[in-house]
Amino acid sequence: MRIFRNKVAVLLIALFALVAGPFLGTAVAGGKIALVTDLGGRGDLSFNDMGFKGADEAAAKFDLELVTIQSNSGTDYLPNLQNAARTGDFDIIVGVGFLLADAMAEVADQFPDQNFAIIDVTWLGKPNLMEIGYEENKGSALVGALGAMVAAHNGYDKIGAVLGIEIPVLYKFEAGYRYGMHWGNAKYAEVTGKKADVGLLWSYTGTFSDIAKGKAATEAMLAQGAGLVYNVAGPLGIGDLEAITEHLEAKGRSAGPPFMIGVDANQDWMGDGHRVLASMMKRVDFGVYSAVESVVNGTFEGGVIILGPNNGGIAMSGKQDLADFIDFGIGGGAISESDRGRITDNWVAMRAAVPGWIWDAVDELAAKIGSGEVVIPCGWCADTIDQIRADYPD
Amino acid sequence: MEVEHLWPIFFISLHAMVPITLAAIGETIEESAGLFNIGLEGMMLISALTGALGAEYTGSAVGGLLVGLSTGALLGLVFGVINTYWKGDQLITGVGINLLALGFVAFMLVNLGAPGFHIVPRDVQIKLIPLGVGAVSPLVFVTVAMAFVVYWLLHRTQLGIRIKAVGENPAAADVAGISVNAVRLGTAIAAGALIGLAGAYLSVDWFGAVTKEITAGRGFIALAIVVFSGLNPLLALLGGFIFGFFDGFATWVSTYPKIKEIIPWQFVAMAPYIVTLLVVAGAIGRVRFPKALGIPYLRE
Repeated sequence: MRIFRNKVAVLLIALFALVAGPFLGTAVAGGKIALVTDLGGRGDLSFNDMGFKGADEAAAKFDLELVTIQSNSGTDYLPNLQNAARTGDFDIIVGVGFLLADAMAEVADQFPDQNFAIIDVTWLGKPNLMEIGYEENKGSALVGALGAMVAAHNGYDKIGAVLGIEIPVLYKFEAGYRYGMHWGNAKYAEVTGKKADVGLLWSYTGTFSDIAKGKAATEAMLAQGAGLVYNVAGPLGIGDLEAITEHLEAKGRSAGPPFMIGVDANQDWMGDGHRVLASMMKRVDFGVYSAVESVVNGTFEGGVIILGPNNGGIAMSGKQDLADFIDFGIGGGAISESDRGRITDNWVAMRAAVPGWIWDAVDELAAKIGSGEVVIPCGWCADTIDQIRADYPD
Repeated sequence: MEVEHLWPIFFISLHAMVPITLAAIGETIEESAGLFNIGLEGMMLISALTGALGAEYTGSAVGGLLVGLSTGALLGLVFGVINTYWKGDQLITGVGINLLALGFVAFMLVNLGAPGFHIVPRDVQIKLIPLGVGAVSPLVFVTVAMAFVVYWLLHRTQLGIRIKAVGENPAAADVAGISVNAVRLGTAIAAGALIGLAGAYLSVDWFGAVTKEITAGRGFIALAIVVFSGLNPLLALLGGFIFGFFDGFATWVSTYPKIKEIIPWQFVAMAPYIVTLLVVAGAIGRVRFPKALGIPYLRE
């Protein structure tokens, strides 16, 4: 009996630690903000990490205390949000990701005086909820156009896309990439006078965690003649890049082509600076930071904010981004300070090997997207993706 | 699909086979002695992390593998002590290791730096052996050799008979002068070493990086392979290859535009799991496990 009582006591303490653990933190002068991650959680190389980066920067800038609440399963979203809201301590509670949408809708109604923000969701319409969406389709069109032109220039007739779980947000990447590829083909033919017929290889791997699937899918695409592969599956990019690195090593080379195209964060610094051609940056950090900033400035209001190429929410990676993320990589121990020069030199050489007119063409497309002259399909296309696949075929 | 694409699929299968099979062989050793360890996933995960750090620290890929192997052995020792001398509950210990690993690795990756993943520098990754039609990791040969060595050890040596005696009838083994707890502890450490090697292979060899979910369920697939193999390391080798083949094949064909028109990719992606289920379901029933599996030995 005594053993049993002890067991119960241990269980209760463990339970308390589980429930209370996320909320324990040291108090600071300013207010408090909470970041509720989705299943992927920290270390997904994607929006959770970027969301944390933004919240962390905002907390440092405005002297706030940041509490990160990790969701270990889909059933955690609602209690995590409710528990955070119930404390009444937080100036704003930010939910990172599409998967939190339903829980967020419920909690926003339950706690009308609490400020909320959510990333990747734009259809809830609550007065106390700032919804931040991204124009991934536009950014993906830019890298799709770049990819098609670079592949054609290097004598490849395919480009690839390794995607994660088939969810509507990823359709935006796929649709934009398709559009960009066709635009790039047409541009290549127009400029060089040679017919470009770069086709698409794509695969939804059904995972955001099993790196082996990214590696196998990339190997398959390389074997079918892909000149580059767009990583749209967070950490699977590690597998994509490993496949590309081994493919190059077998030929006694280190630099691409074939290349990878990075996603969400800037991943250009990976692969020694010359195996990742560019990254489609989705600045979740920027969105989270702006949400916190609006609360601090007293300008917070519910509604939808769309971040895209025009306001810095979506961008193709440039040299300054490379420098920033080399710092990020050094901070993470992935590379060391002594690698900085070599990676930067490799990256500059890689980009210089691509003809200037291709970069100009990408800039031209960006300008046309910005002015509205070119309309990229799929602002949201859960229902129409099949039609888009037919309009912009493989 | 062209014929020359069969070679890469074959090599993908071989590389996918390694971690599953090594872990399954490890589990086979300890299950033969009566220890049922469901903590494979967690042990592999922690060893993948320490292996990656070990490779960097020692500046050698082999050093990294050895660090991973030692980590596994150490976790095996902990599992072994709890479940022999301390008469613990094997299921709970296994679950505990899995939960510990999930938290520990994620925590360590965050503390190692912001990105939450950790890349192993190219020069301390295992070099592939070029074979003309493709390149293969030396660990593939180690895995095949290990299957035969453990088969021989369990079925052809006196030590093997002792291990099995401890798993079948620990009381009788005790009467015959075999120290039940010592044998079980030994198998737990040996098993841990193989499981740790499987984990380090993921980070130091196959992927060249460690993430918090790098094992992606391979520890549980290995458990299924052990059931399928009926504690026969050679069948575990075959099972590992079959799963590796279907896993790699499914991903491979999902990239072919023509195949996508015929079969929805979701069905292709299900193939490895359906095959595993069929194989295990077909094997279960005819497989006999040690009588004392999962039961702590209490001398009466």
